Amino acid sequence: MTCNAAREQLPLFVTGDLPSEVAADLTTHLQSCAACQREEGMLRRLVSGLGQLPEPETSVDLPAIFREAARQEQRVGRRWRNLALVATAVAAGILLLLFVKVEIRGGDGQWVIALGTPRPVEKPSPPAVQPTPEPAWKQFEEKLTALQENLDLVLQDVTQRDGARRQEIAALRGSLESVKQSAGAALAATQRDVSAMYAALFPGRNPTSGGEDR
Amino acid sequence: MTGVATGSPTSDAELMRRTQRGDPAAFAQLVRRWQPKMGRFLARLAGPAADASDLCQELFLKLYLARDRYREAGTFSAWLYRLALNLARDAQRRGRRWPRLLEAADEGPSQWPTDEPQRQEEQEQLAAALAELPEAQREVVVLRLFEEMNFEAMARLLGTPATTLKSRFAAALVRLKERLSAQGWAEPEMET
Repeated sequence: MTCNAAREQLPLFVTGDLPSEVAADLTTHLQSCAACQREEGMLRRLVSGLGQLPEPETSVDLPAIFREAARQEQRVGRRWRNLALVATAVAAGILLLLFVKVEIRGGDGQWVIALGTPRPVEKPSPPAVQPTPEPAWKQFEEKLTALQENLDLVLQDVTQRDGARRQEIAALRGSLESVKQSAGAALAATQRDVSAMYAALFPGRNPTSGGEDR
Repeated sequence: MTGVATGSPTSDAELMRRTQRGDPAAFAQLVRRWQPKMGRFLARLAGPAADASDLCQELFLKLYLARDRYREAGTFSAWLYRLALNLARDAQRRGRRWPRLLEAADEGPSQWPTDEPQRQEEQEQLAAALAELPEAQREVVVLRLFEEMNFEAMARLLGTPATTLKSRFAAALVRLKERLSAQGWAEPEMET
């Protein structure tokens, strides 16, 4: 152990606070080092001198302690009582405000204190929300869609009208055919009547020659 | 930690319980038991006997006022030492300490009883050197040398690691030795 290391350990050595193995090393060093022995001697003298300092006499006035304690506890008690009174007053004030419905409001350079239920405050209606303009491509797309729908409607209408015309034409053809048949039947009946009348008027003559057969 | 053992006929904890229940005789017994020890402790930490008496009075007043806060979680002595330590520190911050001790040493006969003039002078030098130590070093010297508290108990009381306190204690002793050497304390005679 070096002298420096030894002197670092000496204060705890002289008070017996070194671990035994360190104390043994230090003892070995001290046996061969006069300077560290002198250092140890000074420290032991110092510790011994401190231990022999006379003990000062002190006194305590017990009744004074009880009197002062009572005074301080009374003061603390008063402080707590005052604090409780203030807290009660504040609580009562809050309850009054809540149950009596005292309305206090300020603004426009004046304060208003009113009792009772406060008037409903008219809230301004929220501003109308302006629609955000749609982009041009979207408008064009909508127009295209509308045009397509219109075209579909026109096509459907044309198809319906065409079907109706076709039905009308077919009906007309049917009517014409029946007129034709009835006209042919009427003509044939008329021819028979005429032939019968010619034969009756002109016996022996051929109604198709147009004169008397002589 | 030293102190009155809880195994004594009436333990400190029992006396505190009786004090909490409003028994002034129990508190008086506690004061009689602890006043000499706390008086010495405060005197070492805070200066001459007059101040120590004031501090002692203040300590037991604080103890009485704090009686309802006492719980038996730790030992009574540790609680009392903590109160005393805080009181001494507060007193130091209020400035009622070392100058008065040093003034007393300069002004005339010491209030510390002594036998011989030379011994008295040495003791005054020692007391002054102790008084001049920084607060943290003085506390650890007083607790170790006068209260005979070990470093582990001291660590619990001060909330500082024991290794730190050992270093602090060693530094304090070296500082005291250098101060006294400068004042002409002779080195011990070497054995031949």
